[in-house]
Amino acid sequence: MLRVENLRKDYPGLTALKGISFHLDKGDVFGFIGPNGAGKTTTIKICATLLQPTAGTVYVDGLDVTRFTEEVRGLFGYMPDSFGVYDDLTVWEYLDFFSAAYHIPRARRRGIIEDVLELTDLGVKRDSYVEELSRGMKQRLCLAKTLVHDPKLLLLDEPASGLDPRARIEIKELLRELGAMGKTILVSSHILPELADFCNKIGIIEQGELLLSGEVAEIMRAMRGGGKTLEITFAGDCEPALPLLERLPGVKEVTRQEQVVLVQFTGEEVDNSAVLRLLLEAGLQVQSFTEGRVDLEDVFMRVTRGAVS
Amino acid sequence: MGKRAWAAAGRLAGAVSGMVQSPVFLREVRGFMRGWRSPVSMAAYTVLLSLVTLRHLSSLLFSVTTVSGPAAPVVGRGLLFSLAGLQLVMVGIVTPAFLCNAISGERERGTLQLLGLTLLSARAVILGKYCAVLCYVGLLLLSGLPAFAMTVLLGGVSPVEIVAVYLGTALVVVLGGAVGLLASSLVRRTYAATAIAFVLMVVLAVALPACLSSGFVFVLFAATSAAGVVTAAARAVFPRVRRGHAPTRAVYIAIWGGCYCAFVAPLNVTGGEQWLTGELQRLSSGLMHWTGYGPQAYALGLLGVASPMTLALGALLAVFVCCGALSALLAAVSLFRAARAPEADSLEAEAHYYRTLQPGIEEAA
Repeated sequence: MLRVENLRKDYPGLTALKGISFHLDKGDVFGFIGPNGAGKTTTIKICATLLQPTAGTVYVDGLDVTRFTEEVRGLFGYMPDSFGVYDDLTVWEYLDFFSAAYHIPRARRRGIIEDVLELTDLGVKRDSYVEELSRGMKQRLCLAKTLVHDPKLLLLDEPASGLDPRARIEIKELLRELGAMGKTILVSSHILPELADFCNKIGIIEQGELLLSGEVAEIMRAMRGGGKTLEITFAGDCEPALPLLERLPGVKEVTRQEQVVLVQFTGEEVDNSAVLRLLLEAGLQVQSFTEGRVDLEDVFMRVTRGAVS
Repeated sequence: MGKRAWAAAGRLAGAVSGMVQSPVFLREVRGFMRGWRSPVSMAAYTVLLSLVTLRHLSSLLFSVTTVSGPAAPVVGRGLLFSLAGLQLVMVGIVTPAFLCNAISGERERGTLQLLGLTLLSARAVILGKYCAVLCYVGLLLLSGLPAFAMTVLLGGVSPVEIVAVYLGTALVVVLGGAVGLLASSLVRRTYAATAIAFVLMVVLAVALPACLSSGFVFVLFAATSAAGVVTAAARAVFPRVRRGHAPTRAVYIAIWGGCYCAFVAPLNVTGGEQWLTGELQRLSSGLMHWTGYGPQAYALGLLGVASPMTLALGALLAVFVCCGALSALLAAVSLFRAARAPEADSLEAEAHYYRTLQPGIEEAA
């Protein structure tokens, strides 16, 4: 659906993108993560035919965006990080304007706008002027606008930026729903928890370099390196536990942090209970026993160097 | 022939219906009728026309009481000339002003990107905005019609003359709108577009006809050519100027001082100073002539109220104005097309990078 090949963008004295490549299949939800100024917006703008790359190619549905600019524009919906609205129109008129601008016949417009309003939960605001909407509602309206022509691909640049926590959750739910509808989505953010839940692919970008890209599940597996960390907190003395744990098969490393012992363990889920049983049988007072999970945030912190923030 | 006429009428009706349903046209019309600008300008316009009418009518009242005042037809004719002049100046200001923010306003509001990404053609966007303003100014002109009707009531003015005045005004609207739209597509900021549009309007509607009628235009050409030659010579002598670096103030003074000496000194020697003074006087009288009587005379001549010669001149001017407006519109379409094409160097993106990325890199280094 979207293929980015060796994309490069140079500015005088600065390289914004250093030859990045990734691809999205139909139905993928791709989280594009990176600190501010990493090159996310530049990449999305090039995909959205707003910016010319210095080198490299972007294909949307097999069409080169620099050669078939006009044709490609009907295939995607783009939501910029900051955007203006026509304040003097009502929500309905605003969506009607964009539907007409995408050549949707008058007879079909009413139904489409109703559907989009329902999806974005703006039905009650249909006759309100756009200037009366809150920022969160304007974001949802802009998202509604990108959906009116039923694009196959959505390019969303920081859709939840500047929103309060509630509005963020609403946008997140909306994106989850769009993903479930089978849309291919490229969504960027510099805040990880926003994307962690509903993306099946991620790309981490820093200083114009794509440090990591691929399926979330695969990345997690790779990051775990086939192992996991057990976090055991003891109520009493934990010193006797250390030699016991070290002798266990599958244990790579045991480290102690006061009352907490971290065990690098390559065993399966069922082996966790064997570890716990061993400790309890040895008469040790175990207060808590948890498996530390590698999440996207860990991946991000390990992969990025934090040079730009 | 009849069939062709019907086909042409059908095409025209189709184009009008298409325009009325065009999303940009509808949006602009909604915007106009909802904003404060529309009622305020319409109120200001009708109040001004009413004041002028009252001023003329007061002289008529004076004549009734003292016998020696002007007759009603004379007052009617005077009123027509005043109203026509006022209307012309008003629409000459209002029309470009309404279109100065057509494209630059979209850019400033942050809606240009989204508009540019839609499937609307550049022509549909430009024409939609243009026609919406033409319709609004048309409404403005209609609101002034009662004041013009007063001139017919007073006598001395035929309805055909009022139609002629309106046709003349319509040409200024057509040109003014196109100039405003062109200026708005040309620069990024609305204030700059406004300045450019008004300078262009003054040049097109006042200075150019005045210069043409006085012959002073030749002096302007001569001065410009002389300045061009001197600047070219200076660039050859001072390589810094040629390389595009800002020349020092001394270089500027040398260029323009030399130009002044080259132009004024021969005038003093050959007695050309008197000639220049005479030309300047002719320029000012040409200016007065044009702004005072030109548009009305042309408007009245348009429908053959005056001689066939004025009719021909009026028609010629109308063709010129329409060609000018069309050229400006075509240029605006090309500029909009260029604005929505993928940017080679996005100034905004560049600014964003220099603001956010570079400090981070420096800090990291």
